[in-house]
Amino acid sequence: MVLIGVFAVLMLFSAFIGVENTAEQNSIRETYQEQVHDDYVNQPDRNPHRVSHYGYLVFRERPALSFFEFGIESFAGNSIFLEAHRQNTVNLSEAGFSNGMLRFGELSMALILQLLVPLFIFFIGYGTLADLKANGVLKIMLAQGVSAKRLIWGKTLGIFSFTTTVFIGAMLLIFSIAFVAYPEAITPAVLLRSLFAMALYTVYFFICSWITVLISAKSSRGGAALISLILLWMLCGIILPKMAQNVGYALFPAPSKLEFETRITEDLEQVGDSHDPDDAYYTSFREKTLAEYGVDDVKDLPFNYAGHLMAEGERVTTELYRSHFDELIATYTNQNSIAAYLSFINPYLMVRNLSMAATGTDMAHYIDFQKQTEDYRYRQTQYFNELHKNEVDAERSGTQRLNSARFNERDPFEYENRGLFWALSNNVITLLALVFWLMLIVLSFSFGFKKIKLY
Amino acid sequence: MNTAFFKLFATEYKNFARNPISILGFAVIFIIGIYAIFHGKNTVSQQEETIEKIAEIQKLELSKNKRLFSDNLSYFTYYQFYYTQNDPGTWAAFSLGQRDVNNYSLKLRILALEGQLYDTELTNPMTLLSGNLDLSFLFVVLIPLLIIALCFNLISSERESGVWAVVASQPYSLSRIIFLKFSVRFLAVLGLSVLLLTAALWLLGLPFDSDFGLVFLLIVGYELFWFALVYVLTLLKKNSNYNAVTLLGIWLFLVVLLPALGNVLVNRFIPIPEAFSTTVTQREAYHEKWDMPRREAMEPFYGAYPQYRSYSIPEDAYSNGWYYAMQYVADQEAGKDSKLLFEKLENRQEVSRKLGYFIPSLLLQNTFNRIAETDLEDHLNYLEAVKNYHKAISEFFYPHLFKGNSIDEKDWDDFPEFDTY
Repeated sequence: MVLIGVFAVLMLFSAFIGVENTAEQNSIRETYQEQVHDDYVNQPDRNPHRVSHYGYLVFRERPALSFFEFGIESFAGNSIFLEAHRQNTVNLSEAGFSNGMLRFGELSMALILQLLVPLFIFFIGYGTLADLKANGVLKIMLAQGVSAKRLIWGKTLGIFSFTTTVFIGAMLLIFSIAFVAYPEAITPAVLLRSLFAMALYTVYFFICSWITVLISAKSSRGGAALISLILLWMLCGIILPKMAQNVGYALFPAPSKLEFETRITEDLEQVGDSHDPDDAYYTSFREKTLAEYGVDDVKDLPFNYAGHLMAEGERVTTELYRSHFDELIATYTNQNSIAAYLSFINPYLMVRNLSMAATGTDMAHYIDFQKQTEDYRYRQTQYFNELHKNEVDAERSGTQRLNSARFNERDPFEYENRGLFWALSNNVITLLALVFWLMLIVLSFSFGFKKIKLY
Repeated sequence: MNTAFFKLFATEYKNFARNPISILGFAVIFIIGIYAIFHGKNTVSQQEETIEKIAEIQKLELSKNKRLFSDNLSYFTYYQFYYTQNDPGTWAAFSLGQRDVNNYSLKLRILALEGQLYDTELTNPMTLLSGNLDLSFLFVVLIPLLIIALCFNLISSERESGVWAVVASQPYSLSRIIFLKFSVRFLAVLGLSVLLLTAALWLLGLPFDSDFGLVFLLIVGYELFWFALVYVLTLLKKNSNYNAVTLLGIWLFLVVLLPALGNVLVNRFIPIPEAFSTTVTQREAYHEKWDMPRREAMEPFYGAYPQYRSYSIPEDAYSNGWYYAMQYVADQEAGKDSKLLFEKLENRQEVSRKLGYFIPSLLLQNTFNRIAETDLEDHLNYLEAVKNYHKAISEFFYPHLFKGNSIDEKDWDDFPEFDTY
């Protein structure tokens, strides 16, 4: 009972923190986002190239379900500056402003469900069969014709139904309260994601109960079962996740930012430098443009060549940047795949990965945010270049201002939320691990336990 | 102490050394320890490799831009990056701390600084989330688990199996036997720690100095703390399962939940909206200057550098002095928020240090990170050094930018070097 009390306090506390923190962070970000947008809309008449350097700041909104699962939220950047020519990093992560206390782990509801509830299950379940064995009752029961399969099924179901009632019940309650408090967060996608998360944790609790009863069944004494379970917990919950990531990091070396940028610069120099008047690539680009319009000098073109050239430069750099970025993300995905494959033997990793995906707090969602901002940055910049090309006189290329209304007609950046299926499609391996675990359980009850020897 | 005691000690030691569970525990921790040393070494040497490349890249870029923009200093200063680095401390591989989160190789231009200070290093966020399995993690998190595993049923199991009744019938004082059993295990854990520290000393090239002494003392103290905890629980004479559950619960509270709680409190009571506001303010302050009368926009710059007042600034054309003065003014306007941000971060560091007095795991980790120079404080010092460097380079270029649009080759001799603090 004390245990349930401790868990209740922890759950409520972490729920409170989660909901409050998400709401608070989002309101801060919204305030600054509005300020950025107001400043943008109220800007004076400017030269379009000035506007593309004035750029735009986007603050990343926290996903609706991040009150439940923090995922990588604290380690992900929160603000990105979008400007012409340059792809900036997403900056200002909370981890960067922490002195390291958060490296011990963060108190979220998901942490409790993923790491502490299994311990709870172990504590209430380690003796179920081992104790019966130790005091001889099991022998009598088996002699009376109760099958081992029925015993395991019954004990598993008992632990599972109790745990699920308490914790999935708590989850349901807290989600409802959170949605009532912040009704604007509810969308069909968010509801579907929540339902999936609840189903996922239900399965997880069943796996944990099943493992507990199995280990209890194979142990001669309750104490031995408890120790085995705790060791298993340390291995799966503390050591393997760290090791998986560290090994992935060593196996698939990712470039530092310096190398990443150097590679892009080197590739760019292969193509050409749009600032260099004698550059081969951009000379031929000019020749091609002149030939296309049948003129001898850029001055005779029906548009401002400076804008045309900037658009081409932007296109080239962006294409290069994107291919390098995709390569970088592929490396990260490889690094993370160690943990994904380990989910076949470590249910904690399975639930962690899928829980982060379901709540939108995994790496894929963060990368998606970056890609959407990059896409917006590119479209904005090319729009300004188009204005430069068509509406700015070549003689006053750097100084002529356009009416600010021309800039304000652009829509502000809006992150397009992803659905559950998109989220899961990035985690096929882990999803297969989930199916594998389910099949393992079904098979164990259909075939495996017929022959299991409890002694 | 008499010979009988030593005999008992030897017997108990044999008991302990033959127990497969203790052998397994020690072996696992030892292997993880060696792995942790190499992980730390590998991570730090990757960072060092990056840092080593900096000088070469800086030289290449400087010569390329000098060549491209020999007659156009303003282009040069616009495109040229200056590299800085935060070299890892001697102990960094022992306790990687926040070095994976914080940028250790910032590059900057003499444009407004506030928009450049917080550029992040490219890292896999999942790796950051999982954290590092370095030696400090082993000592802070895993060693207590080993201690618990070795001792939780030391007396209770003997009581449960009936051996204790036999022991109790012997002519030795029971408290002495309990003490003896704990001593054997403490010495074994101490031995393992010394072994790992020696391995670290050798493999990581750590200096054998007062820092090493402090680390060693802290580890011994921390291990004594955990042994004492288990000892006290043993005196309560509960059964083994109760002991296991209680100790694991205590471990969870001290090593996971309390630091997590501390983190929540720090974030809640020292929030930093300034992180966003400096970025917004600096950008707006800079761009609005473009649309202001030029000398008026430059006034704050003249306040700090009155010697440049005499140079004329054309109102209708670009001029270097005007352009770079605007950068200065933008930083100055964001300065108030920026200063507040730094103060708050120092405050966070301070609060966490104080929380360490109540949470042993935090005390140990904080001290390790301080010695290893991998904590927030170190990063703030680095950022301070970067700010100073930005100022030094800007001041190097101002006279040339105001006077004209070029720089003599011999003037480069005075170009400031980045000072590690």
